[in-house]
Amino acid sequence: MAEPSLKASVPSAQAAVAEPTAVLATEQLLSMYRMMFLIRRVEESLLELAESGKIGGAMHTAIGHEGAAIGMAAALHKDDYLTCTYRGHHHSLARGMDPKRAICEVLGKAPGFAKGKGGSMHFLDPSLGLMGANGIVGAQVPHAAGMALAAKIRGEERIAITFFGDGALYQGLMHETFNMAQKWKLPVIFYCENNRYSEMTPISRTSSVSEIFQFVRAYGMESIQIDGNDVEVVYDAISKAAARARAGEGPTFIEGITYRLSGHMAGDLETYRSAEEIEMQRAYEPLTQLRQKLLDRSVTEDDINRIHAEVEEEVQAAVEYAVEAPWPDVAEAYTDVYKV
Amino acid sequence: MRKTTYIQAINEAMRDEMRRDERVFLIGEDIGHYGGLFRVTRNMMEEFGERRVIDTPISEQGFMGMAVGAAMVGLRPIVELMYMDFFLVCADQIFNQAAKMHYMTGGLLHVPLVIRGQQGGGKRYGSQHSSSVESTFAQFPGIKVVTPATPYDAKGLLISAIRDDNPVIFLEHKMLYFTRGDVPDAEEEYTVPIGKADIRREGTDLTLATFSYNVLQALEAADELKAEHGIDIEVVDLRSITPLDMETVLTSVAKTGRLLAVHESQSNAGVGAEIVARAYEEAPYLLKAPARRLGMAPASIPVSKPLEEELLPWKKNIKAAVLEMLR
Amino acid sequence: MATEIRLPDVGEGVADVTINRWRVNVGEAVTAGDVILEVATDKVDTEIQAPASGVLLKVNFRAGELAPVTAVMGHIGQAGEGVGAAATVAATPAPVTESAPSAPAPVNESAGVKATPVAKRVAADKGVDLAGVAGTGPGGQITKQDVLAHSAAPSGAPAALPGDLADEPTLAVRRAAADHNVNLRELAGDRPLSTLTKHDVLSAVASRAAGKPVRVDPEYLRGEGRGARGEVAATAPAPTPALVQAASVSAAPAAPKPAAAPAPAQLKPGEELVKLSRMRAAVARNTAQSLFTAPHVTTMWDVEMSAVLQHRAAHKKVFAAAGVNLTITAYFVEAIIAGLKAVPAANATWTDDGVIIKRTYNIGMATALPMDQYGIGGLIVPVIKNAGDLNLLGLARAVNELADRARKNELKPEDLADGTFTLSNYGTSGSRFQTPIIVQPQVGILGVGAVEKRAVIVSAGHPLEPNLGDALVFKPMTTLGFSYDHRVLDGATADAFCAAVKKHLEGYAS
Repeated sequence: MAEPSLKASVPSAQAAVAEPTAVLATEQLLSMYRMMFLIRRVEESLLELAESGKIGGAMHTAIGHEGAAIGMAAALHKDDYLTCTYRGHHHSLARGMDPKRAICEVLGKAPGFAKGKGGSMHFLDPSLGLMGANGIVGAQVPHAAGMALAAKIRGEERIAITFFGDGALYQGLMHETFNMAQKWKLPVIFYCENNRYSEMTPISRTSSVSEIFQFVRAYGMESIQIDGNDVEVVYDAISKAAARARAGEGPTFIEGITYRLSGHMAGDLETYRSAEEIEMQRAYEPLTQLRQKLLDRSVTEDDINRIHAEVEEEVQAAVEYAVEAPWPDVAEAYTDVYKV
Repeated sequence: MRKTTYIQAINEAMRDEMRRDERVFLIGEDIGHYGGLFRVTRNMMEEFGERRVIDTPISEQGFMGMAVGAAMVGLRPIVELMYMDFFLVCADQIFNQAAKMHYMTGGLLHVPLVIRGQQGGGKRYGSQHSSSVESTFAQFPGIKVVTPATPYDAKGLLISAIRDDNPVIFLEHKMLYFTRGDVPDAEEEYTVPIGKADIRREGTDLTLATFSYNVLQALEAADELKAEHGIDIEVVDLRSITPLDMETVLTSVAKTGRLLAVHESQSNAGVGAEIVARAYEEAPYLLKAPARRLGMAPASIPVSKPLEEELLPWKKNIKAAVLEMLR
Repeated sequence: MATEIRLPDVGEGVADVTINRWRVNVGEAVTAGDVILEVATDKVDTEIQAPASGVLLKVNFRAGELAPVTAVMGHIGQAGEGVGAAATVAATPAPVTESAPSAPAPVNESAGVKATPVAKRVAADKGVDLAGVAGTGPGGQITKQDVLAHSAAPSGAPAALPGDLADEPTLAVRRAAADHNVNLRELAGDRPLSTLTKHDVLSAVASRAAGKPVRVDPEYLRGEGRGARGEVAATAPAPTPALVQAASVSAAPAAPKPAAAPAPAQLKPGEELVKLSRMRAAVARNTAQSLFTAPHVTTMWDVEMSAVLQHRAAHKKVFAAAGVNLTITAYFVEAIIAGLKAVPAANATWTDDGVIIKRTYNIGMATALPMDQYGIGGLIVPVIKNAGDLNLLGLARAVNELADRARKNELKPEDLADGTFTLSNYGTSGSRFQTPIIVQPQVGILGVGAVEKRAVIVSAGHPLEPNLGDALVFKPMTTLGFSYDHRVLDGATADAFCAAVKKHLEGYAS
């Protein structure tokens, strides 16, 4: 069994690697960079808050995963549905969630979008099409397929996209969903953020399937493997999949190779991988790649630093706001059990 | 009014709501072309087509999850589980997802989902196809559980369940499917409210609170107890397990002073235990004797007829329990 | 000693009850626990049980009368017993006990009074005679709450738990709150959560289901020339001339010129002349002209508002997150659009050559201005332009913005011009039904009354004959008063408009 490769794209007879056929304008790349840097800084701030004891429970940051989220946000419409995993801060922030309210929610404070009741693992904002991150591995995948089914029943142009990790593929309900989605040609995109580790175990140790994107071939579903850290590649692949879905051609499976630079969750001792491996991966991580693209397009270091300064200020203000924000009133413990 | 079957009443409820509200759709195994294993969804595909009557492969986790997702974005799916025992296969989607969604999202999302199917023993289907599951569902806030015993209540409660914005578990019973009862004429619209019990038989000596097929068994037991022993019991049909109508139960206990809660699910930590506990919490002074519950004995359900009858809390066991309490 | 018949806790904020009927006559025997009296509050009807056995000696309030909730309804005792002022037992230590004051006294075994052991203990501690306490538990049992309410202030709320437990709601209250999605903090206000009762929660649920009348209270422009005797419009603040001009612009082109000023009125003693402000004059002129030119008919329709109220409750937060306060007005405007699409002739102007049908929907909202000390107010009608292009969010936002601009005195002439249809929400001032006057040159004006809980019959059986399938339910209702120009619309077409409005309002799905 081949060891997971360090560089993403794996040209082979089986994999169809998407070459970016649409090059994004520099302006767009700049705003993508700003957003990606914002996400990075929010995630890093959350890790600091966790270390200082302000965040309880499990918090899973997506440092290193940002490429998929940014590419997706650019490629889809605001009312396209999205579901994702408990490692889902980046998807929500990329689509415009207010960082203040996001951090409040993680801390369990009242101004959080779910009044502090959902926390890090259940990010959502229906007004932005964000239909929920989920704490149970794989549970969000049939939800997205159900939303796609709803769009089909209603005759709408909307599609659904769902993000999951490589570990989720081994849950039975994934396959149940793949089969039904393909059979009924549901307008859904299945995006696997393959960071090569299923929680703390590299997938090579427990999987009898060598390439993730092969999983769905049995169902006759269209599938590709791409460099999930290159926003233009991601943008291109998701745009094409979305067009297929909207045209009624059914689901697409995208395996985006990436790497998780932070631990599985706050407090992970990361004994299962070496510092050298992590260092090697830094060269390929999405923020570095995007920065290089900008420099290649003659954006100056000054411009980039200016973006950094703005974002730092914004994130700092958001963190302060959240730390000062009030706790929810105890009466809220009894509300929202039922919808009345 | 006309007499019709329990199955027909459920079929009509779904059909009427699907005509009235185009967001309602059906999903489940064999429900479309075949009309459902128990024929409850017969003629639905003919009228509503494949778009709104969806035949699924045997993928409970998958299609329950999809129903939850469709409900999250405003459709109103009715999911059929062929046997309620199978809820265990997709329990995560019901309990961790649907039940908790409104709370976890601080009220931003809700799941107007109906899960319906039949449960219960009596046809010798054995352990894995004869469970009663209401006590398990009752443990989880965020879902509602209803258990109609008559065709009238079946139609009225199913319509209420479909119109409710929360996930509702609609528990039918395989022994009730072919029972008959009075239901208003087809054009007359009515509902039965969720959370309201009904007095099925008035009496003075003991309050027997139960639901579903046990109501019929209790009524038979009541007639025999009257004829053979002169004992007059009051039978309360709970109709809803969550929310539970203790008001009606306690008003009855104020009259009789004795309470026996009967249910087909396991005795241990079951709905009966909840009813007895609440009676003690709220009105212990009404009880002349200790309140009791009678559930399925702690064994799995066997296929062999005499063994099944020994374990099920039906007429024979109900009579024994009442006589014991009034001894 | 005679026992007083008192009311149990009938709900927060309830000051009096109406006596519906006594079930027993004076002089007849009653048993403790029998229902002897039926009373009605604004929210619920309640049955009152006899607190003791005996004979009904005296009745203090007759059927149909209002009784304060703290009053004694009547007295039960032995036949021939007197009932005097001394019969009040309430807060005085019961002299019945024979044991030493330090020992807990079994005071309350008399007359078969049913009380919980805790209630008996608390009553003994506080020296309360249970015979005088009304029980609210099942079967008329006296609970600890009842004893505490009896000896506490008339509010009847249980005492708070001590120390940092003050904010811990009781188990029954927690369960009720979770079952019905009630925010206990909003319910309790300043009171600690442990003083809430299950009844409080269930009353709140009932009120919520009934809906509250919509109040729209922007502080609008003040008119000019009001008040002081003899003062004339010329001294008024600047903003209003534009308004009045706009008001007269919206009048029909054939508005008659104001007649030459009549000779000043001769005043008798006790009379005072208040000159008309220009706005008042415009309103007077326009309403008279409209009513006496267009033949007005008003059709009355009842609409059930629960779908709207539920939709609003479901969406209020999401809209608020978008910076929009979702009011009931927005729903009425949206429903009007549905009605106008169904009956285009309702969005039109009459001319002798024919009816000019308008394709744009500019919906005016009749808005009352505050009245002066003479009770003379004003009226303006800001218009939502192109309302047909807006969804509910857009309409709600437009309603907010116009109200806001009005409040800040920033309405411009174009905000008041070119209306094609008008909404008059007089329900906000409490009216159930009016016959509004059409704003010329339009063809219809939809009046909407207060949203209030009403008893309606829901029939499961025959629609007209009484039968067992009938149920009396309480639903939030409102009454529409649609005034229309009979030159253009008839009863049938006007009712088609109302039917479409009603269908839209009742069809909101959350």
